[in-house]
This record gives sequence, C-alpha cells and structure tokens, in this order.
Amino acid sequence: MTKATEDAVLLGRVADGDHEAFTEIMKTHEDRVFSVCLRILGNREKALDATQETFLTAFRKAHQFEGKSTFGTWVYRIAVNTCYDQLRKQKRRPADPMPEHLDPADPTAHETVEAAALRPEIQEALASLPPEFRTAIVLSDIEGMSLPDAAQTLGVPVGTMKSRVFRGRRLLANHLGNQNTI
Amino acid sequence: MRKHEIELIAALAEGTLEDETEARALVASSGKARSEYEAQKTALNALASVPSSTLTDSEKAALHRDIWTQLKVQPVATKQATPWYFRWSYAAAGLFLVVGLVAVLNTDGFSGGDDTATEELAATRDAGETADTTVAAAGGDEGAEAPSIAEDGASADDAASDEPIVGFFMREASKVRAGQFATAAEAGEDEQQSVLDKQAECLLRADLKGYIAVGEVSFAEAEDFGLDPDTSYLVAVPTAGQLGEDTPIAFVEAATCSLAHTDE
Repeated sequence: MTKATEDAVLLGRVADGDHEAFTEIMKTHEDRVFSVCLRILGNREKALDATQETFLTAFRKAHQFEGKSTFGTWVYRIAVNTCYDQLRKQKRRPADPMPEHLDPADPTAHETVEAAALRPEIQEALASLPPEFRTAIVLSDIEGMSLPDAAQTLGVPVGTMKSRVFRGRRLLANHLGNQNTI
Repeated sequence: MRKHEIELIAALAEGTLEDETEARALVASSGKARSEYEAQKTALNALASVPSSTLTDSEKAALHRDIWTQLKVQPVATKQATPWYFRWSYAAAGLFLVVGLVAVLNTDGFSGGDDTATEELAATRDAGETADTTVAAAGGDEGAEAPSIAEDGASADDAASDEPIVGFFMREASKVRAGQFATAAEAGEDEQQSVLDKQAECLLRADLKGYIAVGEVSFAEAEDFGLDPDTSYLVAVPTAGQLGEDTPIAFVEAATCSLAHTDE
C-alpha cells in the first residue's frame, strides 16, 4: 500500500471518529508541518502553535478530504494558510518575539533546537521576503517539494510557482548582498 | 527577460539540466542573464545550508497532549458550508408568512388590508435583504450573476468605501476586459488539472457558479496599490458570453475562497 493510500485509509477512520488513526497520521507529518511553519514564521513557539492549529483543523475537516490530492499536500496547504493567518495577526498586533521554552527534562531538546537554527543572515533574509515568495522558497528549496506539488499545495498554477521561486531567490540574494557569488 | 530564459537560468543554477549548452550560452550572452544566474546560485547555496528542523520529544508530547485536550473541550464541529437553499429559506419563509397574512386579511374582509399588507411586505423584504449577504443581482441571465459581496458579513458599501482595493480591482478588471489575461486553458503545459479543479472548487465556494478563473493577481501588482501583500486573488469571468464592457469580473481571495469584489 502506498503512503498516500495509507493516509487515505487512516483519514477515513479519522472521519469515523478513530483517534488512534489520527495520531498515526500526525506522527507521519508533524515534523514536516512544523518545519514548514518554522521557516515561514521564523519562530519556534509560533511554529508550534501553527502546527497545533493545523492538525486541529485537519481533524475537524477530515470528513471534507476528498482524496483529490495527497493528504500531505492537503495538510501542508492548511499549514501554510494557518501561518498566513498568524502573519496577518502579527502585522495587526506586532508583539515582542516570544521566548522559546525548552523542557529541561528533555535531554535532546537543546541539541534539536540548535541543529535547526539558521545562520542569522539567512534567517534575516528569509524574514525580509514577502510571505508569498518566502513560502514558495520554503516549500521548493528548503523542503524539497517538486514545483507541481508545491504549486498544488498553494493552489496556484505551476507557472506562478516558478515565478515566485525565481523572484524569491533573487530577493534573497539581494538581501544577502550577493556575498556568496560563485 | 523571457519566461523560457528565466526557466533556463533557474534550471542551470539548480543543476537540473541534462544539456547545459543553451543555458551557458545565454548566461554568457548578457550581463543581466549573468547577474540573474549569480543571484539564483547565491540563494540556492545559502538555502542549501538550511538545516532540517524537527520537533523535540517534549514538543511532540506537548503537541499531542494539547491537541487531544482541545478536541475534548471542543469536540469536532462539522461546520459545513451553508447551502444556497438554506440561506434563501429565511426570505422564502418571510414571504410565505406575508402572503398568508394577506390572504387571511382578505378573507376576513378588512377594508384597509391591502395597504397594510403591502407595507408589511416591503418591510419584510427589507429585512430579508439585510439578513442575506449573498443576494444576487436582479434580472440575471444564464446563471452567471455575481453575488454582490463576500459572505463574511461585509456589505457592498463597506467594499465601495475601501478606495485602494476598489481602484486595484477596477484596474485589474479593465485588463481582463481588454483580453490581457490568458485563460488557464490557454496557458498550456504549465497548468495542471488539479490546479484548475482547485480554482473551480474555490469559485464554487465563493458562490460563483458559471464562472471560470482566468488568472491570479500577483503580489507585485497588489503592492502598487499599497495592499496587503499576503493576499492574492483569483480573477474570474462568466463562462457564458464574450468578454466585453459589461462583463462582470469577480475577485476571489485565493486563501479563503471568499468573494472580495465584483467589478460590474
């Protein structure tokens, strides 16, 4: 059974109220959903909130999933929209960056968080991009999604996706000051 | 720079071309192409250093705990889109009531019944129109009339008073009427059926039956009007008839599939 078929079967069980099935689905996708949110939002706490909101939405709308795309594409689309909502709220109510709390009882926490940290100049350059370009780059160049998959996730034509990636990279390079030119 | 050249440069920077001859020649041919290539390469090198990010064990545990707690507090609410007949049912019920009232008044031989009933009918109509946010334009043909405004409770007056966005939509609508937008079908190879399906689904969610998406307004265009760069809009036209001065052009917020504006 392919991963997509497995997801579809699990989702059918979720729609019937099977919580275990949803836990299985979450375990499969939670790291990638979190990663997408972290790179779009640039803050671990906010990314955690967005991840939680994404899965709550996915659970509540499981019965609406028609299987026209893979579950992954569907859930990443929810994640991106959730992140956009957070960015809009952020814009309306700018707040101080939230502190990142790590569980002292979790010995691997610091290691994991540090491993995910971006070089400050890249973090800054990514944050400077308009959200549509940032998201395109996150899905395509950081998460390694194919252009058709990324386009489907964002609900835009592939041509639009290509254009966003190209222009996003150009803006990113401008921000980095073309320091690493070959 | 043309689309094909942009794609060549991007593919060369990504290292995904089987034969790089044409792309290399392009890059060598002009300063602009060279600088675009270098920018793409710089960005890709920087992005290649971005580490993968995962949740810590404690974050995963907290995530699962919080989700199940929330789902227990607020059990699954299967909120479905309100069907059109449900929205109209209030107006229909009101009308039915008034017609019944008129009939009763006439039967009982009230001399002033007609005037009273007419006034009540008018009042009920007003109330019905206020309550229903998706009243279609009257006198429609071929089912292609656009609802006047999104279902988020915003009134048409609110939208009309929002100058920059209305100006933006008007300009884009003029472009569509002038044939400057390629339809998705004409755009050819890049378009995928799934995207078309998604757009069609989005238009249906916006109550735009009989419409087709002809494009999406990009960030850069919206920015010229000082609008929110997070938002992009599907541009839709009626499937029936030719494009012309009188063609209604609808703008649907791509993220929420809600109708933002109809330029008529």
